Amino acid sequence: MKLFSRFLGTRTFYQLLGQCMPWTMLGAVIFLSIGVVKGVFLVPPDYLQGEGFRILYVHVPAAIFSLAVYTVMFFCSCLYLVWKLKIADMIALASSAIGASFALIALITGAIWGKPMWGTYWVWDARVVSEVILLFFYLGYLGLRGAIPNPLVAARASAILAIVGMVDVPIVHFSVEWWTTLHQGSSLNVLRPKIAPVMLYPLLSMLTGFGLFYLAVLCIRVRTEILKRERHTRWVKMHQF
Amino acid sequence: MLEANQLTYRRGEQLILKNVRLSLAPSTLLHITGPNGAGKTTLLKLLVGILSWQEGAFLWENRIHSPHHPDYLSQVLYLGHHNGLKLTLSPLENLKWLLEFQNEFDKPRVLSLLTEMDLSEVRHSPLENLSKGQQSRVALIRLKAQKRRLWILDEPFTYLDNMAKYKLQTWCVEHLLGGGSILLASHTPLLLDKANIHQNIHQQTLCLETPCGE
Amino acid sequence: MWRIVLTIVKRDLALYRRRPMDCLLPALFFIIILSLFSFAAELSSQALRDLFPTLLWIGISLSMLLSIEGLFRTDFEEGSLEQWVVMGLPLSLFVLGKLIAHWLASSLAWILISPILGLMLDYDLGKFGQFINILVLGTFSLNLVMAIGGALTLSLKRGGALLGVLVLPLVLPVILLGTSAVFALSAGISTLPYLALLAALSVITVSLAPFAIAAALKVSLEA
Repeated sequence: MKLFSRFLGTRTFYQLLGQCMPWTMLGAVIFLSIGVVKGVFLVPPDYLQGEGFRILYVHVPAAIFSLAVYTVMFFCSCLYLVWKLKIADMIALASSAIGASFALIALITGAIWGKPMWGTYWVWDARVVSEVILLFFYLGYLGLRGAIPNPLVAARASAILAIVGMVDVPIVHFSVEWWTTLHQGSSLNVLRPKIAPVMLYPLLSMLTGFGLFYLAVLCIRVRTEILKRERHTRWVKMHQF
Repeated sequence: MLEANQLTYRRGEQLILKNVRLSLAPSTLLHITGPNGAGKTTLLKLLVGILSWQEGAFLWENRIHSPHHPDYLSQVLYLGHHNGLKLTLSPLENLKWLLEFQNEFDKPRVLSLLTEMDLSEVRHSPLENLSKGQQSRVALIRLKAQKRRLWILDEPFTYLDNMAKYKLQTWCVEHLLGGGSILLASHTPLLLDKANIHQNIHQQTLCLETPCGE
Repeated sequence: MWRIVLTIVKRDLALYRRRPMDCLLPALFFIIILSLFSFAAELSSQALRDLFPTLLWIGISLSMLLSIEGLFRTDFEEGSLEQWVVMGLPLSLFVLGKLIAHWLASSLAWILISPILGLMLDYDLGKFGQFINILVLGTFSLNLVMAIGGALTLSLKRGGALLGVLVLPLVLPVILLGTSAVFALSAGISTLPYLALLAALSVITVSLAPFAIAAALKVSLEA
């Protein structure tokens, strides 16, 4: 691990991320557009839910990625605490705001979906509650980072929090199996999807789009963080990007 | 016995220690001096494992490479700025709860040490009723009550009156003669200039942040 | 190893005996919350009785928030925390001892307060014993879990609000189980499954939380 961090200096990372970013952003735009166009315009209405179900094309990817991003934060926090990899800490920090937004989007779109479907904006079922808890873990992470003045202490304290909060991710995921909830069971299964193909493909497209979007924004934010931390070094001062 | 090299420590963006090196042999007193803010307390805290350095090498008795190792810490006694005493408890209780962890509480011995430090009458009063000087003396009793090879003391002379200062100096000399070592950060130098017994004790000074006064 | 835990427990209990108000204040705070709620809400006593389990656990959590904030602070400021680190012994043992002592002291306070609560709300005191069981078991996990937040915010001068945000996600399972247990108690159903779940939660938290708390304390020392 020491070799890894010594040979891959932050300048190399900066340039690497700079090259990745345009491609991932392009990919994100493409996939998101495909997903939105197909999902909103081309897919026929659901026989049960009518037109309203289309919001799932935003709700489901946002929810899935709020969990995925937190998992990334968890692994990065472990890497940071154990092997003191600074780049891992930067990735975790950059991901936190993105993941928090995803969680918020998931909750809000869920509320919007809920009103025409079940007559109410909010229901305290297990999945919603555990997702709110996840949002609080995200906010706590950001809050702790911002509140502690010493950046090293802040980084380590929030890393500990991220690790503690990981227990919530399986709870969100398995909440539909463990409790009887408003949410239906899992429809996405690699081998036997329970969802009609014509509805599935836009969803997959949106998922890919969300993922690429996350990576693109991650690149931007990590690059900014690198510049911020290395602002005293020669290559930044001389603008030798 | 103890060697530390290239110690570099940053708090946030501020560089506090850079490339500090020190080495300590048995029966040696290392006096760490420097103006306020030079990093004396930070250095001591680094050497007892409270803080962790960004860069540095550490060697204790040629086998232990980290100040967090229990084998090293079991031989260290650290008296910092905050002495770890509870103000609502009495001197006797405080010492009991500090020494019990490693089964070192020997009541008669502690009582005799309290008498030696002139604290016998107040041994049952809560520390908040005692003066700062008396509180410091309670902390010092640990030096004799716990058998440790390395004493790391941060400004131990603050608040002490002349009697207590003399007592502390005597104890330090006894410790050094017994083969132990002391790392002392202080504005007041430890007066070890009594002639005959001191051929067996070595003194060094480490000055942080040059230029240093004489 | 257990000598360390035991010594800390004895020490902290001695400290609490010197300042009994430290333990009683959270419980008194809880009574104030409860009184405010009943006055302000103008509920019928039946409605209040229905809401009692929820009020109980929310009130306990809020008042415990107050006492947890100060739990490690005095040791941090007086240098005891430093001394424990310098001893080279596992910090998680010290943490465990402190939390056990805090739990014992606060449980005692709750037990003393409960009859007053019962009288205030015409609560059926026949099931008093089981009620105490639920309370004691639940507050054990609550203590441990809240202390994680307390340790993380230790270096902050006024961590109060942030502590609430950090602690809220962690205490939710305990509150859910606790309220269900008290609901079951008042409905006459057996509380055994809930007690078992609370016990399981206690076991999980006691095996994991001390390590997280110790790590957070060591991080706070660097600030």
